[in-house]
Amino acid sequence: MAMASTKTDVDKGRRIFWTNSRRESLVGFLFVVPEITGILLFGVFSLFFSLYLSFTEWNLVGGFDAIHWVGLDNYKAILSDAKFLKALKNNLLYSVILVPVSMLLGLILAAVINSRVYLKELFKVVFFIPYIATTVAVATVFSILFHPTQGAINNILMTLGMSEPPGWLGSTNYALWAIIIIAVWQVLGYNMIIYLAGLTNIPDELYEAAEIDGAGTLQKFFKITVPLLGPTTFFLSITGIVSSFKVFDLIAFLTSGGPNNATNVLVYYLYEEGFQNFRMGYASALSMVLFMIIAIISIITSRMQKNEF
Amino acid sequence: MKRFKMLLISFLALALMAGCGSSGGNTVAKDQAAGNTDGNQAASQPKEENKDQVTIKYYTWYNGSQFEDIQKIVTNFEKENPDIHVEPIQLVDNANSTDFYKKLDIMSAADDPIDVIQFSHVDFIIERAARGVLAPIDDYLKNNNIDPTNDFYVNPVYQGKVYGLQDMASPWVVIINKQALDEANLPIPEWGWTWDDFRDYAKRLNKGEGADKQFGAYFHTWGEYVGFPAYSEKPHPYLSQDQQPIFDDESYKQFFELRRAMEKDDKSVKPFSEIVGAKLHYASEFFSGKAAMVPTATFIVGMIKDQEKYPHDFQTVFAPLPRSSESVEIGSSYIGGDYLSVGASSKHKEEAYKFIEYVAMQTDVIRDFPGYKKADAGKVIQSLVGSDAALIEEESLKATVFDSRAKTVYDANWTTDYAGQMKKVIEDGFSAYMLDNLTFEAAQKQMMDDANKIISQARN
Repeated sequence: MAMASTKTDVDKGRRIFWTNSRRESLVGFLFVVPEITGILLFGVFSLFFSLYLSFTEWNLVGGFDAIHWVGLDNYKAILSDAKFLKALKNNLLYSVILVPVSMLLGLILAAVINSRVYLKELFKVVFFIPYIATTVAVATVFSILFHPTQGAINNILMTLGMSEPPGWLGSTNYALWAIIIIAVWQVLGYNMIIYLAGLTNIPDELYEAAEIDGAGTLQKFFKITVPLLGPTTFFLSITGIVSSFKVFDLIAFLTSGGPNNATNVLVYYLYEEGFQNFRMGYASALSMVLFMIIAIISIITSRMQKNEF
Repeated sequence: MKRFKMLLISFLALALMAGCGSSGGNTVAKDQAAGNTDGNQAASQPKEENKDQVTIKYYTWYNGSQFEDIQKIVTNFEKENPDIHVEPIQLVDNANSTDFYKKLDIMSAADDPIDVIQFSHVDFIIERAARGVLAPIDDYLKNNNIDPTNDFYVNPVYQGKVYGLQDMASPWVVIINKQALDEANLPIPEWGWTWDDFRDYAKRLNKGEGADKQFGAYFHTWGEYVGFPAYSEKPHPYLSQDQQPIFDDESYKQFFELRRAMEKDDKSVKPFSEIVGAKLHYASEFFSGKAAMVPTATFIVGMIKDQEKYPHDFQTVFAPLPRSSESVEIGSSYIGGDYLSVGASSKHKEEAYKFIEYVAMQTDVIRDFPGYKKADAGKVIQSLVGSDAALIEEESLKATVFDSRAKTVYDANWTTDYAGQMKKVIEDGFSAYMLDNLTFEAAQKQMMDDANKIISQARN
């Protein structure tokens, strides 16, 4: 009898602790444990470790003993680093051209494909292929197209009457533009697909109502399509800007940041410092600066977004 | 429903545990597998091997036929030294030495024991010797009565200690298309010719127009091609003895201007912008007949013989690297090469040294000219040229490489652990000079600023 009563007590206590909602949240927690562990280990820990490293000087090869605290020296050095400023300038030019141009072209393409075009599906695929093609393949093809004397692009320019076409990848003035052209071509398809998805969400009634009120095609486009695609535009601009600051593979494969740093960008410079010159502390400081830049741009864009819509 | 949740929870918990457990299990399995392969390797060894046999690991970036040559040398070595087993390891699969160094550095940071390491330039050795990754070999050299300064062309010396042996020497030479040379009625250049003569030759070797034009010469994008006189006539191409950059030196100015004149005035070399933009390769330019004359090192001999990769039907003649002026002593040359070093983390340093000495001295497998000066010249030439006399002009090769006046003025004592970064400085400076059309003074200012920045960073 006594034993039985203790057992029920325990049962009772357990029942009180394991309420339904607790049980449910435990299940929830267990489900997210693997993911959270991954984030903590590879995301949060790395973030704080590189924050710490940015205040140190560390030659990767020397092992952990070689970490020396240097305070703000790395950040001070960055501000007066001509190569960093050049990389930043290149990166800004790259982003400022790439993001709007690829979005505008993507929107136009999406609008055209969405309206009256034969072989819609085919064109969708055609424009999307560059985005899924590996960058190395894309870069190889373009390095042939951009060949200064025998490449298709310059041959076309010459037949069109240009006597001295640009040297593209072998020129300090045009190398970055060549990279931008390739990048636009590459992300165009992605932007187009996202815009297409946005377009299908716009109810036809709005267009019909506008037509009844006598609106023309352009008016419909600018007064209905563009504003209602606001969230899509916002999404694309944020992801576009962030990824444009992370550009690396095209640069690494085509120019290695050259000639004479004409195509050096932030992430490539970071890689050079960290993994070629083994200055991990400085590279970490660079990554922190990059982080700040992306954070600031994202905040500004989201503010603009809120005010406008 | 509750039961279902409990089931789910216990399943998840189990899965977690199983997840951790199985990875642990895998490691054990892997260890066993590793043990097995070791066992297999041991089993494949000759029977006389005993427990005292030590295994040394030899890291290289070579692959293909170059790696097969290494394996031949290793087999010969093991025959002579049954108590040492050498395991050659290809650290990278693309034969790219730059990638090799990256991987090697990460390995040494992880404290993996490294016995023997191959290097492609002295600067790379000094850089790592300064970090304490390599072991000095002076004691072994003394015990074996080897005087490196007299016996080898180039010695990697850091703070008075020797950190490796030059197993192969690659003297820089000028290769010329014999057919083009005969058509232009020019004699084979000899020791003592100058860069002005070179320019003259290039002008006269120019032939044709447009896409099929045969240019007189070709200059590659590497730092060497930006300042040959500094490479062959200065103790260090970038630094003075007190470790200041020497890019304000007259020899750089002279060579920059020569290159611009050859490209813009003579049109005897392919434009630099095209070389960079189209990523041209010196070997394909030469073997396809698009350039009649290319300064390069003797590693080109292997490519001449590789008819599959570089098919061509003309004979190649060799000339020494030109000197900057008549007043420079004849014979001063730039000798690159291949080096072997012993890792500081090696547990068998003596055996590792024995192996690198063997590789440096042996003449059974000839890959390039030996770094060891006392090697048999006739035997070397014979096995290098072999059956390809139709492609390689033997006499000019011999006269170019084995001239008694040939010597290197390079002094490894002058180099530092950051010298490797200087090469990029002159490459960038030259790009700016040619592509941005800067004056030499402006390009020089950029190079001096970049170099001083690297030096000040390295010093604080």
